Amino acid sequence: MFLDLDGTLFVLHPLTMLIMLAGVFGGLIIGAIPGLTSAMAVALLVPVTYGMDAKLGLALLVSVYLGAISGGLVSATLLNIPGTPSAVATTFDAYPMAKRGEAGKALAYGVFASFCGSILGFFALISLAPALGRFALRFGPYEYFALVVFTLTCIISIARGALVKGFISACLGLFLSTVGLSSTDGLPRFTFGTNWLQSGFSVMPVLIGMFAVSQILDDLQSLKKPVKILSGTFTLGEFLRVAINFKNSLWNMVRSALIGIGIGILPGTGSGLSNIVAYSQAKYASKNPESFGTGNPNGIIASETANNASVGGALIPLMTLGIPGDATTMMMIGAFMIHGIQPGPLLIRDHPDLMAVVVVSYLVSTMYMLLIQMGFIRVLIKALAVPQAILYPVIIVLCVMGCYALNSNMVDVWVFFGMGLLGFFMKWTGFPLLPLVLGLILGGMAESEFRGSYALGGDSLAGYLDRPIALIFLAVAVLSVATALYSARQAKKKTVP
Amino acid sequence: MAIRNKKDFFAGILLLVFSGVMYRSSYSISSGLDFALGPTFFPRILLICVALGAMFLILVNIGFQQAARPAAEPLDKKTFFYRFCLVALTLAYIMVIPVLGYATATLLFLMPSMLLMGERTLKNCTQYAIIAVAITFGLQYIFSDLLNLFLP
Repeated sequence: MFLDLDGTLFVLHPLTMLIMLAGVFGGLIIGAIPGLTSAMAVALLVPVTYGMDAKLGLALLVSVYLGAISGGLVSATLLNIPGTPSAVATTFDAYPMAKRGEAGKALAYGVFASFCGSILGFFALISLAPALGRFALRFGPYEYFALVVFTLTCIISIARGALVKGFISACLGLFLSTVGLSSTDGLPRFTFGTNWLQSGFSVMPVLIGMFAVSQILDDLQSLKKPVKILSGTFTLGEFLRVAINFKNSLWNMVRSALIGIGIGILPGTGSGLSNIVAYSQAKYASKNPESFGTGNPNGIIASETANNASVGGALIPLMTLGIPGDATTMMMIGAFMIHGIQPGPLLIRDHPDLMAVVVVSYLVSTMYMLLIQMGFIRVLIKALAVPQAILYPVIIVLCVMGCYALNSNMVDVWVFFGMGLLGFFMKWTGFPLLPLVLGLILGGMAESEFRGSYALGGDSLAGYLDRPIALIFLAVAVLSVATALYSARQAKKKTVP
Repeated sequence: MAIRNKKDFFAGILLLVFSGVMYRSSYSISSGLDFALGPTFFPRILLICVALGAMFLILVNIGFQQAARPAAEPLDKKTFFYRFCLVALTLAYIMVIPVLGYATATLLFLMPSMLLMGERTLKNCTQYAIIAVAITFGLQYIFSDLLNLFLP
């Protein structure tokens, strides 16, 4: 049975429900604060799960993830600054509405659209994940290696204008994964005679350093710049009116949810892209495209439905294939590893309780999200006023403690610091961070599956020719790079007269 | 000869040197039983890929004519100062944690960092002090007492 009873009952236990409530609330607050992304929210709360049971930790992380994606709505509406990249398109219409005194209406549209997007994402998760999981059971070393290549090329291809840098970044990430004892031979590599490099780089300090430190150093540009927070909240009556009027935007919502789910499933994209694509499609399909950007509720609906639906989409490859889609799901996979959970097809077959925990906690978190946003929107608005001078040092302390608590040693803290500086340097020079981190996470799998497939083929790679699924993955990988190269060439032609 | 994009050019040189040094050090890896390509095959292929990418970055940024320079970004000295100070404070914090212990080191990090980035009025200073103490001991309680995790 897909929804295992033990896992379902575990989520419905009062303690789990209480912790998830705190998780959604924390995620919403972190998501609402400009500059703090959903990846940062998960990173800051991962250490809290170290001492927890794996199931409880999973439920908490799912609730934080969902909350953080939705939290961006508040700052997008009242500050014109997206709290997270998933709310970029929300600013286009929510802020103009807030400026003309309709902040409450804009927030109500956003809250309801977020809820609907999450529910549709939930249905996608429960209908697609089991099928994909069963299909993935047929995968062997050939298919897994091809899948890693496909995932990495997807992530490199979206770095338009920086394809070579994305390629270098992915290769560096894969290289970093080879540091330490080789899983196939048990031989030390690039340890330079030190003991602390024997076990290689832990994923979490690298992830936290890359995303948190580089983000803070980047955001210091806006330190002490004055921001104006518009006032606005909504009543229950206003929310119900918005919900009733929603039938007029049903097709926009369904289309946006499908876009969100589809983009969420693709590696490397996630909610950061889905909201913009859904917005542009809503504008394209509208009879009044000129009204978009001036305060059209359909713009908010498209963006907020898509970004929440993409959470459900992103959890599908994460749980069934062990492939993270974006920075936040990379954080999630890092957290799974800490709890000794290896996402993939075997997880669904052998641990249906864990899968049920993810699915049911996703649904419960969606309900919490709606209730908190309806009842405590004022608290989220207050979070916008937290001074950066207080926020950034506290985040650094949390990161340092989180990295230390991982293995109770300072090595992970130094890795966090070093990777933070590397991440900032990479951002500064235009190298994308995602391919490096994904390379580090998938590097071990890539190497062992490649070497396994080579050994299985009798010291030859000819075996790939007999594997249609692997060939399809490799063909799509080649196609995505070719398309990206073609688009880059076309863009260059347009800029050079 | 002119360099079109100095950031990319020097990043390319840095990466080329890095891949060269790492490739050289891969010779010190024991080859073991050489099972399925051996332990050096994968990292070496990756280092070659990094080196090729780095060479591409270097070559596309070398021109024989002075390229039209894009408008230079204004150097924001204030942002640079904040970044430098925060990195230095974090470095000092990580270095003194094992010596002073979690609570003292965290208090000594939080207060100066908040003062560095925030407005330095009497009211704010009091607020920062209260927050620093609350965060330090609050986290200690959560990590050590509630979650049973070790702190330095």
